[in-house]
Amino acid sequence: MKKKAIFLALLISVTALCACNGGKTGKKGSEDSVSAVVGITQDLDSLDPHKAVAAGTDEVLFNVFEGLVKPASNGTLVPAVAKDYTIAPDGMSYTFTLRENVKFHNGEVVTADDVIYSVKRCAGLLDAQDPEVVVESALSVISAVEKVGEDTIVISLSEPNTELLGFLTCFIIPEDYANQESAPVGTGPYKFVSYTPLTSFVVERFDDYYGDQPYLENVTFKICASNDAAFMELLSGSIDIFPYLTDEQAAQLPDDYNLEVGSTNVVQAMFLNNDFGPFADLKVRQALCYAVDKDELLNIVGGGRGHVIGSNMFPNFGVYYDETLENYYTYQPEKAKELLADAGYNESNPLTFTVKVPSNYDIHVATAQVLTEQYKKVGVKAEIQLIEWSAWLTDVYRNRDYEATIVALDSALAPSDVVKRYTSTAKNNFVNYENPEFDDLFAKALASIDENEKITLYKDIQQLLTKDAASVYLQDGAKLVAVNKKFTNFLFYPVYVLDLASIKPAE
Amino acid sequence: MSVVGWLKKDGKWKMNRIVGLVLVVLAALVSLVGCFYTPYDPNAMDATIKNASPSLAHFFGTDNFGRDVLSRVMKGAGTTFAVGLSVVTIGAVGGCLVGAFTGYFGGKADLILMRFNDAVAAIPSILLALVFVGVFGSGTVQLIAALGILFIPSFARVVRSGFVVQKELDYVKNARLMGASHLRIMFVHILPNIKGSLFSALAIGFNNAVLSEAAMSYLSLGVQPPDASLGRMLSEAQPYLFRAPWNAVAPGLMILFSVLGVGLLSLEGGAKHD
Repeated sequence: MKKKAIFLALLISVTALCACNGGKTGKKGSEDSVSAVVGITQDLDSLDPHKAVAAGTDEVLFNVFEGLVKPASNGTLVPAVAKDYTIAPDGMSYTFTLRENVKFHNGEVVTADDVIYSVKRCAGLLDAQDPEVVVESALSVISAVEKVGEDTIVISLSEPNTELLGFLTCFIIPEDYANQESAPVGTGPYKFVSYTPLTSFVVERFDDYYGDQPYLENVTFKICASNDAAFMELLSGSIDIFPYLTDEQAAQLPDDYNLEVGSTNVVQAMFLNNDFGPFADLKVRQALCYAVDKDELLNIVGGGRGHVIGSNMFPNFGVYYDETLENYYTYQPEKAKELLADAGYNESNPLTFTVKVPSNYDIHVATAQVLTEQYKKVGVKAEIQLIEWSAWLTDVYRNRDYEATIVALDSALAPSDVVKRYTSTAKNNFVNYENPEFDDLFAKALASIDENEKITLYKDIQQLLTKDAASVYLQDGAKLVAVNKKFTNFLFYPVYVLDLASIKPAE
Repeated sequence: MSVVGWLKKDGKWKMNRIVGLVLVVLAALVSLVGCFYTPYDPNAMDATIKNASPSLAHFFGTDNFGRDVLSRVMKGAGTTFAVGLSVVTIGAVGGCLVGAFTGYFGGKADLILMRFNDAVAAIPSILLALVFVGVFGSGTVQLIAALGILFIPSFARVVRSGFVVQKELDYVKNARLMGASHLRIMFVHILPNIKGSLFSALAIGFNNAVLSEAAMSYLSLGVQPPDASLGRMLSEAQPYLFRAPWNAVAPGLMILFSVLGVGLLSLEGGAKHD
């Protein structure tokens, strides 16, 4: 074990030395044009944006491609390739008017046919569908995509849905272009220059972009072997922006970098199997909520950063998010004990359960350890069982064979996506939550076209989940980003993207 | 034979035995005391003293949960040594039985069992333990069972080779002429005569078991958190290697001391009986 540690230390110092040389040559180039190097830790799985599975690929390709609409940093969807859109009052169709003279990176103008091709390709509706394309299941309600005039398209649905817009961010690509996988062409603010597997992905500013011209002219995404290796490169100065800092690394950040703190946009919770004997009792579930000191938890696992949540939604959902629920279950160990006593548990008959935790997520393992200690104080015996991620997917997520588990759930930019799993018939309702009132509210919310009504309904839904203590909701973790002091205006998004077009020079 | 006599040979102090004994007694004391008393609750957390450096209050500092590292090492060493001893016991008993029967009787059963033995020994032990834990789940008991079974082949070989040599010697033939049963000859007559090589195997086996426990817990397959074991502690210390090295140093030293100590003690065990 010790040998390994020494070897590791040597390896890291060698990497650092190599990185130093790289840094010097990199800086010479930056005098001629404004460029930045961004450290990423995942290689791209495909350059064809519709074939990429990894979230880490979408994150990078966000700079090269755009959809009909695109997410903005404030959580709204703004028109991109489309200039305008209307949703039919019955929620059965969407009409998009395309922006004039939007150009692909190869110089061609975007036509309605390109858009129809792209949407159909993502929805799996093409006659000659490429089997490698990852079909977005939420788009399965689309029954037809048609052209009405030169610059208008209509998307018809088979059932009412007013939240499809969040999924129509799917990237627009040219219809007759065969080299998407080697030389991708999109409409985004940056165009593709080169890609070297396991090394780098390089883009440059697209001069014909319809929107504001970005400040950065050249951007290199440097693919690093690991988080530690990337941080070593950052220490040597060869990376300007690194979006995956750990709490420990943030504490060691050199002076010429700013620390930007955003959120990871997930719901981290101890999910309770509502069908497991003791957890079928509302009092037990509530007691488990009252027994958690979330502030202490955040202090230990996130260095005090992170955002306490009270229901199955996170703050970046903006107007839909009900922040009052954050204080619904405050830390009240005495109340927890009372509730447990009411439910028939005491010192001679303590509540005992096993919490299955995916061992590859350090944050969840750490959280589990803090929770078991806190539960010990109210006389609850929680035992941790570490399982592999693949075992978690089968045992917990698919077979629902567990008592409690700690994970974090992410979501698309549609409030329905984050709470849909609690409907009693949902395939991914792994917490086995069942409440007819919830099903009713959810159906209403999904079909509602009045924004205010929708907001009220989604808040009702969150309140219901909290009152029912469907699970023990913990936090939306902090995302820590290192940004070189040369740059400013790094924007955080409610979805998993890395926006470089918004970067501005520091004063 | 007195301890002093054992530590001397031909009037000279035997350094390996002295150092070995000191290290083993030290490790044993720490883990024994840890069973009854630790300065702090080894699992109690305190967010205000995360990764605190060694001080008088916390002799080995605190870890990333603000837990006292010394208390965890004391508790964890006990767990690790208990796993090590259990594993060696299972391996030694199983190995003695298999080795004694195959070595003493020989024949087809010997051939088949020993080839099976070879097959088990040929697969990397960690890999096999991973499969075992994958099938039966992770936990301390499963870990002991998995490692115990894996340790049988090495003991079986040592015992078998001893039996193959011993069974041809005159004292065995005498015993047989006097009408002693096979079982009596195997375990009363022969076994005591191979104790030298068996002790060496036990010492090496114990060391391997401690290291295997550490490796398995490091891969988070053995002892489950929040319980401490030396391997688990090393695993948890990894991200803080530069900022809070004491997290890794304390359990690392404990493993080093115990393994080195047992190793030094067993250095000449095999040679002595010849």
